[in-house]
Amino acid sequence: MQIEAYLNGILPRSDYALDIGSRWLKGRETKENFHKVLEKETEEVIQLQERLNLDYVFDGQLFWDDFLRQIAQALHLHRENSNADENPVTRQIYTNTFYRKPFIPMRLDNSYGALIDTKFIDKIPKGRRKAILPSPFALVYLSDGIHRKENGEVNNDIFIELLLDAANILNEESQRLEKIHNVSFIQFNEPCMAYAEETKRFWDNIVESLKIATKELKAVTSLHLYNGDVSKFLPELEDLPVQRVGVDVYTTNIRKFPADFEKFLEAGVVNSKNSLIEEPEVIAGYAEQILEKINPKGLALVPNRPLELVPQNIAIKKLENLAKAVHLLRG
Amino acid sequence: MSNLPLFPTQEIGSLQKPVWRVKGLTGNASEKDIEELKKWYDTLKLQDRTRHVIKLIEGIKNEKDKEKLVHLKKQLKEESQISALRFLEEAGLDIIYDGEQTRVEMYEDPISDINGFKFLGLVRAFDVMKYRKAACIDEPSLKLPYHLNEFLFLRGKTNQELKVPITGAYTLAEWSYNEHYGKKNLKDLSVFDLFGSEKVDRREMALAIAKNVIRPNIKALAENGAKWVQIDEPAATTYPDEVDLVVETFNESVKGLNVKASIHMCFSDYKVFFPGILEMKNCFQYAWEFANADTTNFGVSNGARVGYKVLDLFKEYDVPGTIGLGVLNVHSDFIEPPELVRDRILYAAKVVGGDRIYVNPDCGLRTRSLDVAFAKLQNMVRGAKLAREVLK
Repeated sequence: MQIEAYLNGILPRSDYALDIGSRWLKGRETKENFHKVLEKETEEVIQLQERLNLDYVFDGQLFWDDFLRQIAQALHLHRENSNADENPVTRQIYTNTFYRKPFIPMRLDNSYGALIDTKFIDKIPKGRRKAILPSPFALVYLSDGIHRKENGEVNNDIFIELLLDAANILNEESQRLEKIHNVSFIQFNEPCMAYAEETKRFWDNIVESLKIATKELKAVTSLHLYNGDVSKFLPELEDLPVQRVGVDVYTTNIRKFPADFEKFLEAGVVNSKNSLIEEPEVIAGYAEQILEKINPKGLALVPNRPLELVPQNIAIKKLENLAKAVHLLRG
Repeated sequence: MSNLPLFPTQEIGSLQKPVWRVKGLTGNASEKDIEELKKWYDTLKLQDRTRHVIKLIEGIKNEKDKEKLVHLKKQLKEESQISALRFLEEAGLDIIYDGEQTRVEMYEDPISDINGFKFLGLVRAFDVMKYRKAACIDEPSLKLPYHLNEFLFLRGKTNQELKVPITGAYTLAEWSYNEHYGKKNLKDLSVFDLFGSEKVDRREMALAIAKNVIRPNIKALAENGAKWVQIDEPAATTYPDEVDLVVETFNESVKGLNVKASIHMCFSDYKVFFPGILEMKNCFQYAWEFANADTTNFGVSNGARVGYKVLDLFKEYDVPGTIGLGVLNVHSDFIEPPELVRDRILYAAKVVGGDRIYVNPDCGLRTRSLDVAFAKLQNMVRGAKLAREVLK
C-alpha cells in the first residue's frame, strides 16, 4: 500500500508576520505591507510542501483569519450594519484560539459567487492541488442565526434547511475549484461533529449534506474530524459519502476501529497541540501499527488538526519529519 | 465592602499601555507622545507629576550608565501604574488595579517567573492577535512571588478597593506545550495508547502549577495585605469535559488561604461549566463576558439581552456567590451608552437578584485605545448609576 502524507488546515504565520499583523492592528504598519508578507510566506509554504514531496499541496490558508472567515465574508454571514470581521469572538473548543462566529440571517444562497481566493492554488502543480473548506455541518453548527432559538438551542427544521443550503453552496464551490482551478483534492474540515450533542440526531442529514457537497466531483474528497472521539460514530463512519476520513489519534480511540477498516484513513499522528517533535521513526512506527491492526483501505499520515497551533519553525520541523517518515515507509 | 454601592463597578484586567510609556522606555518618545502624556495627565488631574515624567523620559533617552537606565525605566513603569490607577479612579470605578501596566501580558509575564518553562515562539489567538507560547520542560516551581512588588507599590496609593488579577493554573497549563509530562508518550506508547494521554499529562501539569506556583503567589499577596485576588481562567472551558480540573486547580490554588478569591472567564461556552461550578470552594465571584454576544438594542427583553441568557443557569443551579457582569464589549470601539449598560444590569438583576451583581467590562480593555476605554468605562459607571436609580 502506498502511504501518503499531506497537510490539512491553516498553517502558522511566522513570528515576523504575526508581529507585522500586530503592528497593522495598532496603526503602525500598512495593510499592504502586512499582506505582502503573507503572500511571500504563502509562496514559501507551497514550495516547502513541494520540496518535501507531499502528495497533495495546499496554499497554507495564511490569509484566513479563522477557518470560517473567508466563507463568512463571501456569504455575508453577519448581523445587519456589521461585517464578518466584527462577529463575536468565540472560542474554538479544544484550543486557545478563537473564531468570529458567523451569523446566518436568512436561508443561504449562492448568489455571491466564489467563496475562497484561488490566487495561490493556481500556483501549485496540477495533480497535487488541494483545497480545504469547512464541512456543511461545521459552517452551520458553529454559526448563530435563524436556526437557533433565543436560548441557543437548535431549531431542527431550519437547521436542516440551512445544512442542505450550505452543502449546495460548498458543492458549487468545490465544482468551481475542480473544473476551473484543477483542484484534485477537496477536504472538508469538521471540528464539531465529535463533540456536538446534536450530531447523532442529525446524522442522516449530515450524511445527506456530504452527499450533496461531494456530488459529481471527480476530485478526492475527505472529511477530517477532530476535537473529540469519533470512534462513537462507528460503524457509520465507514459509510460517509467521502472517500477518506481523517481522525485525531489523540482524541479518538482508534482501538475501537475494526480490522479491515473500509475506508481510506487519514491518521492524525503529528500532534499540532504539542511542541514535542515526533521523530520519523516514531511516526513510521505508528503507521505500521495502524496497518497491522486496522488495515484501512488506504492510509495517509497527517497532523491531528491544523498546524496553526505551534510556532512556524516547529510546524516546519514536524512537517519535515512527517515527510521523512513516509520516505522510510516507502523504503 | 459595606461602603460599596449597589452594582459596584470594577476593573477586570489589562489596559493599553500609554504611548509615552511604550516609546519612552525605548528612548523613542516624540513631541507628539509628550503632548499625549500632558493631555492625559491633565484629564487625570496628575498635572503635578507631568514634569517629573517628562524628565524620566528624557533621562532614558540620554542616560548612558546602564544601572541608572534600569532605575529610570523602573520609575517610568511605576508612573504608568499610577496613571492607570488614576485612570480607573477618574472613570469612577469602585474596585480597581493598575491595568497590569508592569506585565507583558497575562501568560508571558507569569511564565517568565516560573521555573521549568521555555518560550518557543509566537502563535495566533485570533485575527491578528498573538501570544508568545512556552513549553513546560521541567517540574514547575516559583522563582519568586511575581505580583508582590506590583501590589506593594500600589498599596496605599488609592482609597478604592484593590483586586489583584492573577492568571490561573489551568490556563497557564492549557496555554503551554507539555513537553515535560508528555515526552514519555512519544517513546513508550503505541499509536493506540495516545488516546487520552494528553489529558492525563495536562492534569499533572495543571495541578503542579496550582500547588507550586499559584498558591504560594496568592499566599504572599495575602500575607502582605491583599484582600481580593481574581484568578483569570480564560482557558476554563477549552475542553468541555475538563471542568472538573478547572475547579480542582482553583480549589488547590486557594486552599488554606485567608483571601477573597474570584474567577474570571471569557469567550467561552459557559453552559459546559454547569453543574461543575458548584464544586468550587469559597469562590466569591464569577466574572464572565456577556456583552460580546449581546445586541446593542435598549431594553430588558430576552430578545434584546441575548448575551445574558446564560445567567438563567446561575438561577437554575442555585450557584452561590456574586457575578461580575460584563457590560462592555472589549472587541469593539462602540461606546456603550449608559442606557444600554443600565438595561444589561437590570436584566441581570431581574434574573439573579441585584445584590449579587458587580459591573465590569467583559474582559481587559487592552485592545482598545485609552480614549475609547475611558469613554466606555465612564459610561459603564453612568449606566450603573442609572440602574441604581431605577431600583430606588
